[in-house]
Amino acid sequence: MDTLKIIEQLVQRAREERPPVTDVSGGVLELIGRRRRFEQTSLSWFAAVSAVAASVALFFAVDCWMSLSDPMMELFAPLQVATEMPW
Amino acid sequence: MSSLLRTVVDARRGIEDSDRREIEACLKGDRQSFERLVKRYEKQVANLMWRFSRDRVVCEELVQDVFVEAWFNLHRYRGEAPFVHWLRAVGTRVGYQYWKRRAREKMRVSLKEFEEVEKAQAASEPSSAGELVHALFSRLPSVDRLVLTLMYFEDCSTREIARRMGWSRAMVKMRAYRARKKMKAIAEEEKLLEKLEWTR
Repeated sequence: MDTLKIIEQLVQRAREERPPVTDVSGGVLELIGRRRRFEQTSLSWFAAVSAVAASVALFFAVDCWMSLSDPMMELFAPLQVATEMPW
Repeated sequence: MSSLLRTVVDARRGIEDSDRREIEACLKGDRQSFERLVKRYEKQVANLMWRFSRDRVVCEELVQDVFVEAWFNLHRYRGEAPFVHWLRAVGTRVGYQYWKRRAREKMRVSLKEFEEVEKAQAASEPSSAGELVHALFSRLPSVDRLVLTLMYFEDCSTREIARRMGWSRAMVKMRAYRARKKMKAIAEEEKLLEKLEWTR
């Protein structure tokens, strides 16, 4: 007899088998809740870390902004000094 | 005969309408509706997942995973096919991922483990036959194993397998051909025909 035919016969027998009875509804709802809580916690942590990083960047940015001067001023400052000199 | 057919069609339509109502409620966050859906389809999903693992605990975990995945992807269900078909597709993907994880761990069931079963010719029992087929299929690569499992146990056509997995039909046909060839070689190597006397 052909091997594939034998395997098909085996499969036919196997299909008559009854799988185990499960009761997962409680477990499913618990898992959904747990996964949702985990996602929310991860999102909160990500938001907190992002906020801290943004604050640090803002602190340094303000400092740099304050130290910035108008590039035109660099050009005219020597002229201004020269005109103000008492010749 | 036609009245019986009409009754069956009406019953099916009733279930589909009920499913649709439950799904709409689930999308609004109603977990009680989802619990009802789980209870309605748990047996069918367990039937499918039993083909992916014959360990009762693992099978139950897989069934849970299928419903959890279904909950988080429910917005993707477009309602074009019955809900159970969509659920089966989710189950197939969850089972396939499980096999791929196991393959990475290099775990394999040997046919030799079932020598006692074969000696006793108990493979004529459905559960023993199931174990033997499971052991035989586990020798194949995950893709081949999936194609054969869906063809033999779920009566899936190549078109249906391609749809469920997002593969091309040509690829499924080629896989099925190669998988059968490999399975035949393994069965002959293990002298399966000689061991199974009940088939003669």
